[in-house]
Amino acid sequence: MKRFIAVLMVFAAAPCFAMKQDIVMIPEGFVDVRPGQAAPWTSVDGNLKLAVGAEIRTGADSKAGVLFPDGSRFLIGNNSLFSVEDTSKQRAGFRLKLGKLRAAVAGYFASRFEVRTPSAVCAVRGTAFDIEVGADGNTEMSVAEGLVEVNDPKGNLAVVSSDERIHVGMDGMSAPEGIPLGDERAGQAARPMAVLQDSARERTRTMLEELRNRELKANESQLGKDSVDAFGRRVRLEEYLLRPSDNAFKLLFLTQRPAENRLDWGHIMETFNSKIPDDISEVGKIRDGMYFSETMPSNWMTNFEIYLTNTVDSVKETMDFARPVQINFSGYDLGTRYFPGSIDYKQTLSGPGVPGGGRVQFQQTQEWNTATAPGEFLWTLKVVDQGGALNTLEQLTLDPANSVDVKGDGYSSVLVYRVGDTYIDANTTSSRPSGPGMADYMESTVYADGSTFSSRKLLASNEGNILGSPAGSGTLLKDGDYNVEMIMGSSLFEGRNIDVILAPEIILQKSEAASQTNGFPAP
Amino acid sequence: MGKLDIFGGQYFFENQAGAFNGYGVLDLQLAKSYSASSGFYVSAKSVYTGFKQVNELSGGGTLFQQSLDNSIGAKWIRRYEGGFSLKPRVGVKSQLFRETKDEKWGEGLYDLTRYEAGLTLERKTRWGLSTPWIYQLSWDAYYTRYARFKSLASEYGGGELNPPDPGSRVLDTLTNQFSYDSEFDLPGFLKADLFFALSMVGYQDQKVINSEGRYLQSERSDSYQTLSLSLSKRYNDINALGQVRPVLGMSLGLANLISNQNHLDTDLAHLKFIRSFYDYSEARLSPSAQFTFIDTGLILRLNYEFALRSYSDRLAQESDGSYTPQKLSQYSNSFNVETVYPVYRSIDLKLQCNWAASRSNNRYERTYRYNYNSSMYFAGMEWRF
Repeated sequence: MKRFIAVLMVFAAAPCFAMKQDIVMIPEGFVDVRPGQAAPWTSVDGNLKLAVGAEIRTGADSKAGVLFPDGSRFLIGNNSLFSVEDTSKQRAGFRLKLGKLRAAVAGYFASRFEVRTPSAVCAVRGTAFDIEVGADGNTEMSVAEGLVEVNDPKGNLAVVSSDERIHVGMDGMSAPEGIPLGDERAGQAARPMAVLQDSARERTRTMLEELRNRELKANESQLGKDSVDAFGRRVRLEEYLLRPSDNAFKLLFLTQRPAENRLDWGHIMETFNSKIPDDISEVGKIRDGMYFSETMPSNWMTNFEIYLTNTVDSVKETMDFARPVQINFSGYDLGTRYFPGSIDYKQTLSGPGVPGGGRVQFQQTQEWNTATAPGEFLWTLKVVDQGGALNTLEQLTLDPANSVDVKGDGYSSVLVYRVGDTYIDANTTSSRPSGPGMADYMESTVYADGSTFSSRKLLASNEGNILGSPAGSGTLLKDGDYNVEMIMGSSLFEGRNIDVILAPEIILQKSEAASQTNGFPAP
Repeated sequence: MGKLDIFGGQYFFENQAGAFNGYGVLDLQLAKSYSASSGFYVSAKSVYTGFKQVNELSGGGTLFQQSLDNSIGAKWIRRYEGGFSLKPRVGVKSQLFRETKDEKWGEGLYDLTRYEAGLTLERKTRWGLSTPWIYQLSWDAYYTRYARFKSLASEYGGGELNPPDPGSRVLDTLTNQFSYDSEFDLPGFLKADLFFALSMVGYQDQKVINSEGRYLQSERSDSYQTLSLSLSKRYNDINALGQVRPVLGMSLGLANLISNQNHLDTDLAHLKFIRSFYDYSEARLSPSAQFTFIDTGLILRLNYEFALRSYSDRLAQESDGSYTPQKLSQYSNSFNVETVYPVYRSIDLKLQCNWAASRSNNRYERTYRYNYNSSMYFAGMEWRF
């Protein structure tokens, strides 16, 4: 039986091509054939093509095989009576009046494939089964593999599946039942078709876990945690919102390039004068109320810090804001407004290559009502000089109540002006490393002591392609689908750099905060 | 027994074409029966994929991807009188990825190993006089470990007083899945299948986040339920083109995910806390048709699927990332065509094509595409042995 099923499986898998509807009988022992019921029986001992109406009769210890062009085959047992009723493509019909038939049906010979007995009609799907018809016309059928649809004379119908058997008598069918495991007709536990079916069911169950694994990965992308940088390297990103105190929040951002085992990270931290809401999205209103407010703000930012590091070197930019004070801004056509009493903006480099382990590279301050400039703003720019010390490059004053100063040259008087002084002045150049028109902008400064600092910003798509430069934008910020990659380098970093991917909003907030220190107040 | 598939193909995502690449599957099964009551089989499978699957294209656009899956499993079959069977199994699967130019085999970020065990109770019985009925009750356990994936926070040494603690191995999971499957072979060449699964996914080290951005001690756990019903019917041969045999099918699937994990969007431009961020409901409807051309042996398979997923709390975003009041929803249409042509005994030529379109009310696509068209084709041969 095992070999029989294996043959069936080969043919069940694929139909034959350009089949003819010829069926051939191979006799063994005493086998008689007649072309129709009216014709006499003729003994045959060689292969014979069977036509519609043909009948086969086998004697004791004899059998006959019937081969179909699609690979289907019957084995007619001894003392059996079998006939061919129809061989059309729409319906193939056969009748077993008496005896035994073992069948393996591939299912491609005809649209409907039936074996009739005196008491049953067995419609076959791709199947291996045995039928035995007794002298009383009762039919016993057992299915080894596949399905057989059985009808009895009373119109009952049952689909019989593998390892099941059914008795169909002239008075109707009994309920199909399983073949006992001890019966020789019972199929093997791990027979090929059973294994294939079981594997398919297991795949369905396991597919759920497969899909979950894929979805976990997709979630990382959805949350912006997995991307590709402008140089084609995979980058992982994580951001965390921390609350070091009830008047401050810190946004920690981590950038990892797993293939290089490299972690760059940074944070933006804002500290306020008093408690801020739990909902950090409300903090923007406090920030906006710091400048040019008609009334004294109830809360204001006292410190803004952005810190970037490759875990060895770091760049820290801080802005300290003093309590807002009342200032006459009539020169701005604004009247009296509240504005931070001073803003102190510093850039500090740290690392093993930085003299002393860390130093302030440049500093901008904007102070109101100092001893040097009472009733005026004093703006000071300091940079590292040839000796490596912070030195004043420029110092200006502005009277915000004087519209001629504000709207004229933008300042009242120059206290210090050393631009061009090689002992102290720095030289800044800009370039687009990826070529003109590309969103890849780099600014490099050479300080008087020979130290350098560069800041490169790139906009890249999620696939790591550098975008075109937004028209008219010096900040490289635009709406759309992109990541901002920021690379900072210095001659003091001993060949290393800091390379982070940031949310555009972080760059924006830094720019907004710094804009008030780049010169005098700008409403 | 087994099969070997070798294919070459290409995918298209929006207006971009991926490089022509290959796909291969070697599937082996070795079965041994001791009797009608007992036996076992061992399965081994290797799959190499040189390009992304259509359903993975949305995450990362046209990222380069190669994957190599190797799995092995063994199942014991013990049958009892009355149609009962018990089938314990064990298995392990390794999945390797190369997804960027700088990733090497065996060093992929998402490389995973999955250990599996399961037990199935099967009953083969009847639904009334006419219909054979097989049902299975299964428990499956999957422990999935991502060898190289740890949260960055766990590797960060910034010296915070209260450093973030989202957990370290945030993707590692232990899933306990209970499923019920019923198959009916109805009269008239009609087959029906009902499948239900409840999966409880325990994240081994992923902490739940609260609205203040703090990570709680409790770990994330998801509950996933799916119910599917499929029907297929073989019809009488059509007397045309040398006899054509149609099989028509329809499948309906419903699923939902309930998770205790929340999400805090830390982008300062649109800070937002979203409770039950991952919860969704999903429906899939998939009609299919198969035509076997009896004279030539050619098989044509057509399959269409409409899928709709609605998140219960996740909000849709505008293109700049700002949140809308609407809940995020996404629907997709996909259409598959497969032709199989037998060229010699157990060797088939195959051509598969897929077209898919996804649409969503989410316009924020900086890192993940929700609205896209994609297509792919691959052609090759299958050898069954």
